[in-house]
This record gives sequence, C-alpha cells and structure tokens, in this order.
Amino acid sequence: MKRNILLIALGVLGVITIVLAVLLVREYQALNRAGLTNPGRYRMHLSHVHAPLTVNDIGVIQSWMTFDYVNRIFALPADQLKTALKITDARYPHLRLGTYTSDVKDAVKSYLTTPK
Amino acid sequence: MSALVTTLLAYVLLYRYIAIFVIVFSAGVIVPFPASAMLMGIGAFISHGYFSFSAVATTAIAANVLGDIAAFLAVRRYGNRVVRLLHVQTGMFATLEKYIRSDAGPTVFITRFAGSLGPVTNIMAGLADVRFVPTFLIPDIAGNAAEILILLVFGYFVGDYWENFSGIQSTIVGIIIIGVIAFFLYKLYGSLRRRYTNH
Repeated sequence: MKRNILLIALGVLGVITIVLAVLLVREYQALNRAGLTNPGRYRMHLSHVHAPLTVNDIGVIQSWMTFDYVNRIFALPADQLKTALKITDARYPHLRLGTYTSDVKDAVKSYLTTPK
Repeated sequence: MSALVTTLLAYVLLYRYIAIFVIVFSAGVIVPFPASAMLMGIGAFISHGYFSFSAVATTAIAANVLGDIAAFLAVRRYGNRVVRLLHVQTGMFATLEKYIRSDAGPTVFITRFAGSLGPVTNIMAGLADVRFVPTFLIPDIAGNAAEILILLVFGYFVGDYWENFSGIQSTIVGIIIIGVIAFFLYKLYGSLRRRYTNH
C-alpha cells in the first residue's frame, strides 16, 4: 500500500517536472524573442558598467526606485530633480518616486537632452 | 515583477545594507521572501555602482548563514517539544529524520538552491539533531555563498534586464525542489522494497 502511494507520488512529481520543463522552454523562447539570449547585448552592458545611463534608458525608471538611485544612475546633480519638480519633502533624495515617476522621466529626459 | 519584490527592492534602496541583512536573514529563518529575485536585482544595482559587490556579498552571505543557524539551533532546542505539543505523528518524522541524518551534508548544500525548501531543511535537520559542526555549518556556508554569488554575478551581468530572467530563475528553483523531493521519495521507495523483499 505504502509502496503504491510512493509510486503515485513519484509519478505526480514526474508530471510536475515535465510541466516545469515546458515552462522553462517557454521562458527561454520568450527571452529569445526579446533578443535577451544574445551575449553581445550584455557585452555592451558590461563595457558600460558604472557608466551613467543615457536618454535611451529612461524606461528603466520605475515608481519603486528612489530619487537618490535615479540621480546616481543618470549622474544628475543632487538637487536637479528636487528643483525641477519643486519637492519640499525633507526626506529627499531618500524618497520613493511613487506618484512623481512620469514627471521624473520628463525631468531626466529634459536634463539629459539640454546642451550643457 | 511581483509587488513584493519591488517593495523589498525599494527598502533596499532606502536602507541599503541594513535592509539586505534583515530581508535575507528573515528569508533564511522561514519568512517566504523572494530573496533570490531580490538578489538578482541588487546585482543590477551593483552594475550601476550603487552598491559595492564585496559588501553586498558579505552582508547577504552572513545574513543567510546566521538565519539558517538561528532556525536550526532553535528547532534543535525546542523543536521536539513543539512536535509533542502539536501531537504530530512521530513515525513520519522518524522516517524523514533518518534520511536527513544519513545525507545531511549534501541535502543542506543542495537545498540552499531550492528556495523555500532551504528553511524547511533547516527545521528537519534541527529535529533530526544533525551535528552542527561540520555536518550542518560547512555545507550551509558553501551552499549559501555559491547561491548568493551566482545570483549577484548574474544580476550584474544582465543589468537592467534582470526582471526578464526572474521567471526562468524561479522555474529552475522549482525543478530543484522537485528533484530533492523525488530523491527522498525514491530512497523511501527503495527501503520499502527491500523491507518487502526480506519479508
């Protein structure tokens, strides 16, 4: 009886493994379609490691990020976004972007495209 | 990306190494935080120069190992009392304990790569009264270090595309979990077969 239960359990695990293997292949295909399986893409990223992001990378900005992080990755002056968006919160720059996200994207784009 | 991962990453950006320590420690104890996905994200932060690789790796490895040790020692001290209090069938635990004890080192090592199965193994190892040093501690440190370094390096390598890989990473973890469970069931099946053959 116990042996049969174990055999059934092993069979169920086998089915789950097949499902997971199919999922793995599908995930890989999705990455392939997005061109993310090409090592050349990452070689370019690695050659720019620690370099500031450019105006082409604005899409990276997300609401959970902090002003401090955005300032750092786009190499913005510390008070650039504070001034541009008239932020009065004393916690700046250690503050989540939250509702400011789209305004931050515009402000970063504007700063990066303005000739210095 | 799940809301929980983004919330954890926001805390990591706000409180930096303290947040990394608290989150990874909690995940090591038993809290089901998606620490692996979070570590890939931190790898991407490192590639932007926002964190130091060595400081993150040291903090995360120390937090994970300390979390595992805390769970293991707490269960070893109080686990049997709780099992008796909950009137859990001791026969089932005796069988599991036997297998955990016989393959403790490899089990502890491999389950460091198996997400939520890691904390469960810490509890089982505590209940089975596995020797702390070297049987539990050495594979725990080696497994945690390997897992965390792989995730950080991978996040660093793929940079801002790390989110696209979180699905494939969790599927691989799922396959490892199934593999570990299947291994134990197979061993159990083998011992039952031997018992029936002897009878």
